[in-house]
Amino acid sequence: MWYKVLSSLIISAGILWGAQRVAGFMMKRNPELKACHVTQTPVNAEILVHGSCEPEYMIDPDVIDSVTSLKTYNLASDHSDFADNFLDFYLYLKKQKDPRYLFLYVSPPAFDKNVSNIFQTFKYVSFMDDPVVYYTVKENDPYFTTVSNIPFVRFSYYSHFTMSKIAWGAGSFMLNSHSEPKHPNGFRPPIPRANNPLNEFWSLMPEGGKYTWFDIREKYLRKIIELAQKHHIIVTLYESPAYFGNQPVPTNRGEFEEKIRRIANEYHVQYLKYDDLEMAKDPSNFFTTVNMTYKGAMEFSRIFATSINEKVIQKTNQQFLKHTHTSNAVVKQDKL
Amino acid sequence: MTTGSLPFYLLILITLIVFYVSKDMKFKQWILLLASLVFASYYSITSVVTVTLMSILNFYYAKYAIKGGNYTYTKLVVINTINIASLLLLRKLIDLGFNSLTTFSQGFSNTSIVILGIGFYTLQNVAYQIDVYKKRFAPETNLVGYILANAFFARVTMGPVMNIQAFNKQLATLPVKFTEENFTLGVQRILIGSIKKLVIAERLTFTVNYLFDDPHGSQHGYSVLVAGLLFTVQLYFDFSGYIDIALGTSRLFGIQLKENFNMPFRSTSISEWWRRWHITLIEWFTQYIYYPLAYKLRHARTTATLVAIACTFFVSALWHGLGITYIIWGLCHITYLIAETLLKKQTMALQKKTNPALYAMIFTPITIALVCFSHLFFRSADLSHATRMIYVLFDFKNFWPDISFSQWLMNGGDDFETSFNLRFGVFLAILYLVFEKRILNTYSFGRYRVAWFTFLTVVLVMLGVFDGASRFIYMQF
Repeated sequence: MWYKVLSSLIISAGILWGAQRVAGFMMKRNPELKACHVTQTPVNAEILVHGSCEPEYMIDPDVIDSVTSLKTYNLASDHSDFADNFLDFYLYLKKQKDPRYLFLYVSPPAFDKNVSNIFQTFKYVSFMDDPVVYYTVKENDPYFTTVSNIPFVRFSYYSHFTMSKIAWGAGSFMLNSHSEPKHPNGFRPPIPRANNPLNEFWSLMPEGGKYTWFDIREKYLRKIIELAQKHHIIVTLYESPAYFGNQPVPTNRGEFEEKIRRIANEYHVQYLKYDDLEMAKDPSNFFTTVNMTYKGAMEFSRIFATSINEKVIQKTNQQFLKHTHTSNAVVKQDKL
Repeated sequence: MTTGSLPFYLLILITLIVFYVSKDMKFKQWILLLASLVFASYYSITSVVTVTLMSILNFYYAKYAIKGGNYTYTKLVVINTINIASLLLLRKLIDLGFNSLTTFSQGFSNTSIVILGIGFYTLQNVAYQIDVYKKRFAPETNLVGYILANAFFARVTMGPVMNIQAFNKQLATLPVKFTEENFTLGVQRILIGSIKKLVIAERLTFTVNYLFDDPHGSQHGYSVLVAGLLFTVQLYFDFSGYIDIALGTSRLFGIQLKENFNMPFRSTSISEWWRRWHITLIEWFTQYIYYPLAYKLRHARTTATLVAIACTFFVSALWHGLGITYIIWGLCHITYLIAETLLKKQTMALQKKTNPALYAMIFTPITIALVCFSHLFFRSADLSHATRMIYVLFDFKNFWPDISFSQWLMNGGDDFETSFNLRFGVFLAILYLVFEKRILNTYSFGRYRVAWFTFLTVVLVMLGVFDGASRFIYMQF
């Protein structure tokens, strides 16, 4: 009997191992997963906008293109935390040309332990053979990493998310292997809503609440900045407007902002804030505290594009020109 | 640690090794008891203390009550009042203060179970006292066996409900050798149970929770209809999946538990449904409530049957929970069964005249629809939510969602991920139900077949949903 049991275990393992290879191949062909898309199709942007849902729903790269004349891609993805952002950025750099600028959305709630954005392991299951991905997943989801050693379990563990993505990837591969994602520049316009659910959102917020700093988020924010600087990419942290209305702002928000500023200063990167904009006072621009409606998103995209063009891109260009001019002068003097 | 989790299987493995190494029957019982207490302690120490104390109390009470040959009715009432009061106090009233385990959703959302399986072993203790009082059985002499009958880790969570004497009979003849038959039948049941739970029930969970718990979930009659049907299917695969795992685990130790389901989705009447669904619970209620009542009122004939049905299902509703939604669920079934009893002659005449396949084609969907309707109350968080769903269900102007037919065909108005999981889950459920009879036939085949076991393993690992699959629905009862 034990011979038969062993045989069925070996055959099962073989089938599952084969299925794991096929599933990995298919999932990587899913253009709707940004991590997969940027490793399969050339994007080669000059400007990358990155972060969680706020930039994904709010920054239209086409608007930035038109203002800065630089090709822009929105790498942000909703519900993600800084560890996701780090892996997306790492996978992007692995296959694409280095961008010149990285604009990363950073806000006090992004460091809050209780915020709903968490590491989404399922997005990276087809990249588990990469050591950086493996160790990042291991740090953020250790139990998954342990069970993922069983053949195919890396795909079936988060089956709710992965099966549909494998199916989509398979469809995409069979119909057209170079299929474009639904939103080629990475901007996912918020879906128009009949009712503004902002009030419903407020009912979920505890009164006089406090944020709790989560160290692992800080660690991965630092890793993103360090990775970018290693590739000589100019990093800018920014926070888009938030609408609090009459609701009390969490009492330690200022303290968190100060911590972010200290990290920015430590790495000599800019931290831009847009909370004093006139549009931030209009509730019709928002559907949650931090997410804007389509109207608000387009208005903010224009403001953001102009602002980064003046404060970052032109400034960097001037510094570059000045630096080149000075260097040329030094060379000339040396020659003389 | 829940039934079907990795630590659960590790516990089985360790227990199996020690169990089969030992040749001593008493030692084997102690090993099973120890494993059961370890399992219960993962939920709470209160669970361990409660099951042990309640077992000791019932064991010695019956022993001493019968000793003088004088187990009086008053004595029976006293001990069963203690048993039922313990159930109410420990599971219900204390939970009102600490966990609010009063309604389905609240109970299901709780991450901890205060007292594991108390609803199930209370029924066994009550039955034991009645059986000893009625002199159907002599009182048990093996305390370890008695505690084990209540706390056995394979079934303490959700049953099947079983006679303590029938369980203890098997303890006297525990197997000495690990046989191919026990291994094959046990592992096969565990694999099939896990497939039911992890591959099918878990894939439907997200949509069921959304339709019942989200304020935007059931906006149209169509979605309420889907909610009722999906919950019934989810409950079946969740609960019968657990029962399969329990039966399979017990079989590995040479213990045979009672079957709890027998293809309920093939029932052509509500009474048949209850003969096929949660069989052990209904047998308990039939034997200890229905028959005594029907016998007492036998002079009234039909009235006796109707009163007995009403009382049985009312108690069954209360056993599930003190919430009003459970009582309405019970009332639904009382109404169905009373109507069925009153129309018995007509339906029997119709059944004789009609082709059996045609009869099943007409009455099976009606039976399932009636059960699904009652489940709208059973699953709803509270009465206002249930009544809102019923109102939406019968608001025919607003029955269909505001999407085109082609959109409905494409993704049902949901995102691709949700509709994919739902449709895949429904497809697998239908596939299982179609081949259910064939699958049940394999339960008696005691030889290990490589192809069949490979197939089951691959299906489970490839299609199972493993994250968050920790709770079984009936655990809260």
